[in-house]
This record gives sequence, structure tokens and C-alpha cells, in this order.
Amino acid sequence: MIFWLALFMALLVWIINSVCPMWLKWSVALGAPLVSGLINGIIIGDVAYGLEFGATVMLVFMGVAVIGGAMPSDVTLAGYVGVTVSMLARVEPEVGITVAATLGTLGAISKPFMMTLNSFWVHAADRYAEEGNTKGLIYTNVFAPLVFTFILYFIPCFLIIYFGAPLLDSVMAALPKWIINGLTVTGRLLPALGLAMLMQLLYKRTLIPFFIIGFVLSAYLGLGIMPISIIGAALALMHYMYSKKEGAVTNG
Amino acid sequence: MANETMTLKTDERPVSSERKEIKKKDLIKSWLLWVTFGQACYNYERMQGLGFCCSMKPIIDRLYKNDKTARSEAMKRHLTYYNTENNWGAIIAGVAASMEEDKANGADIPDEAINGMKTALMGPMAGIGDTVTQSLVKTILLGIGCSLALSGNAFGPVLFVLGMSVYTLLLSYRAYFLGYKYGRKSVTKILGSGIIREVTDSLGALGIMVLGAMVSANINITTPFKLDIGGSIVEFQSIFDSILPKMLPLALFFITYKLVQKGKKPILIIGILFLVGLVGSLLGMLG
Repeated sequence: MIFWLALFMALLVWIINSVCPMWLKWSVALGAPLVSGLINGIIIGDVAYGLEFGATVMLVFMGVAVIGGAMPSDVTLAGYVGVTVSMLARVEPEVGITVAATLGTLGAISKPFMMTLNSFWVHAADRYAEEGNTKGLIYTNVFAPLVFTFILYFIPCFLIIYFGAPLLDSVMAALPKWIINGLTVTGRLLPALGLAMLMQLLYKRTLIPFFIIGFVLSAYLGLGIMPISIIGAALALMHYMYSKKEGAVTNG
Repeated sequence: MANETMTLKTDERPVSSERKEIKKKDLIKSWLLWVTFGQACYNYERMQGLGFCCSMKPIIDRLYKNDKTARSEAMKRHLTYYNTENNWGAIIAGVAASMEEDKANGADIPDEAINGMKTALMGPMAGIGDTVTQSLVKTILLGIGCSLALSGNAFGPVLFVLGMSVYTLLLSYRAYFLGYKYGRKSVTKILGSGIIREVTDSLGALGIMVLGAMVSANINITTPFKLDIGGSIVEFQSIFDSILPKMLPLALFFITYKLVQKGKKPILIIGILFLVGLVGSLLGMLG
């Protein structure tokens, strides 16, 4: 099974980093751990474990945003490779976070290589442009990117899952209990990093009250994210209407 | 959308052929190519340049069907450096399509005008798009998706994938056709009107509220630390809980945020948290 699973996941990462439709890529790339958790859960026949695993790892990568092609950590590798390897080894989600974060950071080297090598196809497109051959745009833009990404994503992903899962399994068995406990605690600390990176993207001084409201609704009242989102949507609407009105007053 | 001045211009020209028009299906194909493969061949040299040119293929094919030189020129025109946000940036592809149509019908639009438009709009659209798509829409949908998944609901991941896809497809479609219909002036007007800022601010309020909730719901750190003071056992966690539930997660969040804000690399922060976790669990301070 591990052979086919490794093949499938490597294929997925390869496609997502090349011809995958961009409108789908937003979710399957940026939400890789969450999606991967469900897929792995279905494949290994334990959906509950997969859902918990995926969502737990996802939190660390919440704040990863791809701005102008730069990304601190490769979420697709962390998600599809890290989550698969750790789920195969049946580790706790908190331990899986460490595995995924490490792979994501290491995996971030593939992207600069891809973006450098892909320039090659642009020059091929330049030649098609000389001839006025518009079909060449489809060859170079849609199909050609499959080439380098095969080497940069498919091969490493396949190897890491195929050899990494049994390796992680034996490493976990050999690790003393105190290290595993430490890893579990680290896994509980790491979502703070994902959320802090998100805070950096969202931060605006005037929005602090909303942060406090969200925190209090959850910490004191124990409300779930869904009701808090609905209250948040109502408050956002109020914010929009009042800020508009205020603008009109100062202008007038 | 034959614009009056444009029709006049074509009438002035002593060209026998009728006005070249882009068909609706060409525009749909062009939009689909952009929103699907706009970033397929992402590269440092020209970023989405090839993707943008590829999205213009149906337009170029229609307008310069029998003119190889014009086709070649149009391809070269759009193979330049280009980088924006894919969804909001679709408006630029729409404007480019309308400019190409006018140009093909004899309007005096030099190459620099089209490239100038693309370069001028790609930055602002990326700014808005990155904020709205990645920090707001993604955060809110992921927040809901993760909390559903954590409560064992398989619909969580599905909801996230569907929600994100519907958002990108609907938004980029609207943006593309808005750009095509109203051209560059309308885009500049929208950018200048401040409405975008009001909308991003309001969405930001929702996003940061969900973030606040996630800090409490998803950082599950507690302390098992106990002190035996003269026979009575003092549990630190219950003291924290009586003051402010989730006090430790909140404190941890702010410390990490300060590190991120100071520009510390994520890998370094992971290392620090790893040490804290290991030492904390060894000393029985964290659990």
C-alpha cells in the first residue's frame, strides 16, 4: 500500500506545482494539510484520525501566505508528504506537526529552483511568438512546466514517503518517552507561530477590539468558530456601514 | 460593447472589412485560461508573463486570424514581465482584451499603452488581492474548515476547497468582465474611490475576530505545575483559569507575534518553541 500511496501523493504534489488549475490550487495548496488529512484518512480507513491530524497540522500553516511567489515554507510538501509520512507511522498529530514543519521548511528549496528553470520555457514561448504560433503558448505554459517539477517535486516526494514512513516508524519506536512528550508539547506550541504570522498579515491598530471580542467569545463563553464567524460578519457589516458614514461626515 | 468613439474611429478609416469583434465565448475562454493557467509556468524572469500571454490566446486568435505578423506582435506584447494576484488581477486581463479589440480595429493604441496599463494596475491589484484572498477569505474559510474537521466533521476540508474555488471563480469572472466592459478608467476610478479600503477593513475585522477565537480554541497549552504549600496543593492552571481562561495560549501567542514582528525567521522560532516544549515538559511546567 505504501508504494501506491507514495505514488499518489507524489503525483498530487507534482500536479499542484504545475498544471493544477489555479482556482483549485488556492485551496489544495494553501490548505494542503487539511485536505491531505482527509485523503489519508480515507485511504488508511480512519477518517476521524485524518481529520484531527490534518486540522492540527493546518493551524501551524494558517499564516503562510504566498506573496509575489515567495513562501517561507512549502505547504504542499508539509501537507501531502509530512502528513502522509506521520499518519503512516501513526504518530500523534502534535508530533506530526514537527515532521510537517521540518519537511515544509526543507521543501521550500524546490520552489526557487522551479522558478529559475521555468524561465527556459518563456524563451521557448518567445520563439513561438516570432512565428506567430499561438498554439505554442499552450505547449509552453500548460504542458512544459510538468518537466522540471517532475524532478523537483515528484521524485523527492515519492522517495520521502516511501522510505520516510518506515524510517519515522522505527525512529518513533526508538525515541525515549521524554523526547516524545517534548515533541507533543512542542506540537501544541507551534500553532502559535502560524497564528502569529497571520496576525502580522491582518494587524491594524483599529482592529484590535475585534481580536479581543473573538478571544473572549471563545475563551469565556466557549463558542465555536462558526457562531463567532457569524457574529464577526455582523460586526464587519456594522464596521463597514459606520466607517462609510464617518467618511461622509468628514468629507462634507 | 461597441463604444461610440471607437465605432466612429473605425468608420473614419477606409477599411473595407467590418469591425473585428471578440465573441463572448472568446472572452470566457480567455478568462478561464487566466484563472486556470495564469501561473502554471511561474518563473523568476517574467513571473506570470507567459501565463498572461496564454490567456490572451483566444483574443489574439480571433482578432488577428489571418495576420501572422500582427499575431506575432501581439504575442510579443504580452510576453513581458507580469505579476499580480490571480483573482482580482483578472480585471487587468479584461481591460487588455478590450484594448486589443480597439487596437485591432484601428484605434491608435501603441504597445506601450497596453503594457503601461498592465504595469500600472498589477501592483495595486496584487495589494488588494493578496490581502483579501490570502489573509481574509482564506483565514475565515480555513478557520471554519479546521474547526469542523477538529470536531470530526469530514465536511470541513470539503467546505474549504469548495468555498475557495467558488470565491476565485466568481470573483475573477466578475473582475474580468468588469475590466472588459468598462476599460482602464473604471479600474482607476474604483482604486481611487476608497471603497476597496473600506471593504478590506471590514473583512479584516471579521478575519481578526476569527483569529482571536483561534488563539483561544487552537493553542492547547496548559500547565500541570502544582505546589504543595503546607499540605494544600495549589494548581497553577486553575488559578490561571479563574483569572483569564486560555491565559497561557494568549501569552504564548503574543510572545511569538513579537518574534515574528521583529523579523525572526520561522525556522528560528520553530527551534525556540521546540526547546521551550522539550524543557517545559521535562520540568513539568508545560503540558
